[in-house]
Amino acid sequence: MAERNFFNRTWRLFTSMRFGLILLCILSAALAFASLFAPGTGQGYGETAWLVQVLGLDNIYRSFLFRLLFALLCLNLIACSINRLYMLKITTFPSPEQIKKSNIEQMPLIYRTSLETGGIPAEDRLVDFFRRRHYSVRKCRDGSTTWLYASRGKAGPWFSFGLHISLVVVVAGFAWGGVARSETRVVLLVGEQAEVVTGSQQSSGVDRFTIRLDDFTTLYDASGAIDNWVSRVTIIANGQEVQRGDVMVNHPFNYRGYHLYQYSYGQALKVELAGGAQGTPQAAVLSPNRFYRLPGLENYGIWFGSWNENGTVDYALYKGHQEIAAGTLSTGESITLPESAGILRLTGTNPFSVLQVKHDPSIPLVFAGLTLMSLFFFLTLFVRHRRYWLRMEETADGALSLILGSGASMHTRALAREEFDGMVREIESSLALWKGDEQDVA
Amino acid sequence: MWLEPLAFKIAFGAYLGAVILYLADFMADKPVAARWAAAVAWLGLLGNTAALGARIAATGRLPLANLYEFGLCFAWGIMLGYLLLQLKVKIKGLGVFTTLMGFLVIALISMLPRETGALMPALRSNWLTYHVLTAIVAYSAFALSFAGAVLYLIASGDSPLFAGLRRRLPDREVLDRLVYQAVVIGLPFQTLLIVTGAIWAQYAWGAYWSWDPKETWSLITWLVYAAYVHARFMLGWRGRPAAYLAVAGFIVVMFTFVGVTFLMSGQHSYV
Repeated sequence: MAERNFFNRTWRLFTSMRFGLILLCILSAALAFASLFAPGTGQGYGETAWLVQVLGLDNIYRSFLFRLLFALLCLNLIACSINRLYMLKITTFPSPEQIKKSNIEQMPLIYRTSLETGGIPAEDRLVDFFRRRHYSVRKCRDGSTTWLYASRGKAGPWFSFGLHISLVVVVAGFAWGGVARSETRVVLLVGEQAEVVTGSQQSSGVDRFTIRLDDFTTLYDASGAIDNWVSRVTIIANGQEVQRGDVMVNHPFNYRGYHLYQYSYGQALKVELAGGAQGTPQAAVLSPNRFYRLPGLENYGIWFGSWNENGTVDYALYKGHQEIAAGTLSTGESITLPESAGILRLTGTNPFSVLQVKHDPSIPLVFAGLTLMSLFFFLTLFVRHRRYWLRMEETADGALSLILGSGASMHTRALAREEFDGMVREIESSLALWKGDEQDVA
Repeated sequence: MWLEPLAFKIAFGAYLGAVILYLADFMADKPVAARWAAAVAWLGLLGNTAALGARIAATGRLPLANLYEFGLCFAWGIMLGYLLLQLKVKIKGLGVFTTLMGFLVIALISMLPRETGALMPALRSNWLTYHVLTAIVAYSAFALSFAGAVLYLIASGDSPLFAGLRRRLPDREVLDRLVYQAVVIGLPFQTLLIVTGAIWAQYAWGAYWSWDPKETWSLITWLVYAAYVHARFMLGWRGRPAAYLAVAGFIVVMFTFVGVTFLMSGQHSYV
């Protein structure tokens, strides 16, 4: 029995709003703490790098505790939503029994009056009164007592429910993406092609296709500033050209759910090594920002920087770890290598493009969740559930005792009171008017 | 070229003047000062608008690309929000804090470089406009909620220091509702801010979420205000606890706006 009580208490706490709030606070604090550590390998933390790695601080967002926190929040959200379902049902679609059982006297906003009916069909008039104000009205009768339940904006609480569920959808999609997403990068010179092996067994299986870079251009706007970079690509699958298109920043290219993003670009260096031990000149294409060993000169190496806007490239010649010469080269210029090893000549450049190939089957789910979340957020604000209970009883002296009640949660009570007072004023004037009409008819 | 610096100086001076005049009204109960303060604040808003217009004319795009431009829009949003509100309802003391925030934002960005350079390709997207405009609405609403919360804390406190001021403040219920309503307007826009940023990031970088510090702090802002709304809706938090939470929320907003930019590096290094 005690165990069962403990289980019940724990379950109630776990599925409570209070626990959800505690989780929100812990998650905020965890996120603030995590943002202090850039995700990575722990480099840049100096001598404390090992501690950062041991504690998992190098990528807190992927740590078990962080994921557990998110999972707990989601479970709490789901549990709270399930708990709310019953209340939602009875607050938006109450049964006649529930309407009759409603304790109007205990409601935060109540109004009482009694009137000499004098033959007025007050009940029907009140139903009509609410309907003209776009309320849906339900009527229950028990002996000489009649209950009216008038409500408007029933969808409001359901939008709030949908908002919470769509948040769960977003987090679930995010978690799925973490498992199913695949990503690779390809570096292609213009005219080159490369096979891409991507995908994962958890998603839609491993996929192979070939990307050929047909052209790479830079677009400029009217002011001469770079507007975008365009990689013109062809997709080849099973030896057939299956799709062509452009990859641009903000405009990814889509091939069967694989998205190609313009990741980087540059100019590869076309060089020629002649003289020295080389019989015939040897041509090579070198990538920028890399260090190369010189053939036949084991102790020597050369580093090339990125291609400059002014049509030159920086280089540095090394012997062992020591820089022995540095300078810039433009097309046609050459460097005389040490120890009569020959001449290295820059013959030209060839543009290259770095494409990122991504596949994430969770994207439609995440974006659907985000869209619904935004939509429900605004609908929750603008569609407010308004409810009025009205009980009418015929008294022994033939008068009609009328009690009107309305519920309002604390955050909208002031607004609800204003509306309630307005409604009471309208009912009072309508009752007076109806009575006047009846007397005129009489 | 001359209009933007001049308009900026007018906004700077007028916002400062409005702060002083609102303060005079608040501290010494001078309704004449309040009337002048409102006029000067409108003048500042006019200057702010002119500075924005001049920048649009100079760059040929919306001024949403760097911290200076965002700050200009943020101050504009705070002031416009407050001045429109005060046309509907006059809340004594609110002008002091809102105009002070508008002035502080303008003062902060006056120290920043005012580059009018071209946008980098990743920023040439309509999503930038949606993303930053939602940020301006959300942050301006949160700024109003902060001002209301500070007033509430003064009104509900028992410090003898503010005894004189307390008498001049409006009913606490009015302030409490102001804070709540401002948060309720700001939070959906904060949601849109995150959603539009996620969609844009997916198009530009292929990752809708990459735990960039600005993203993370936007999420923290969202969580703090979500906690505020839930604490109020479900647990009935009102008064001082709710006001403290609203103040905490705006501190997070300001850290996201300024702190993250200067203290952390990431994809949002330009704002």
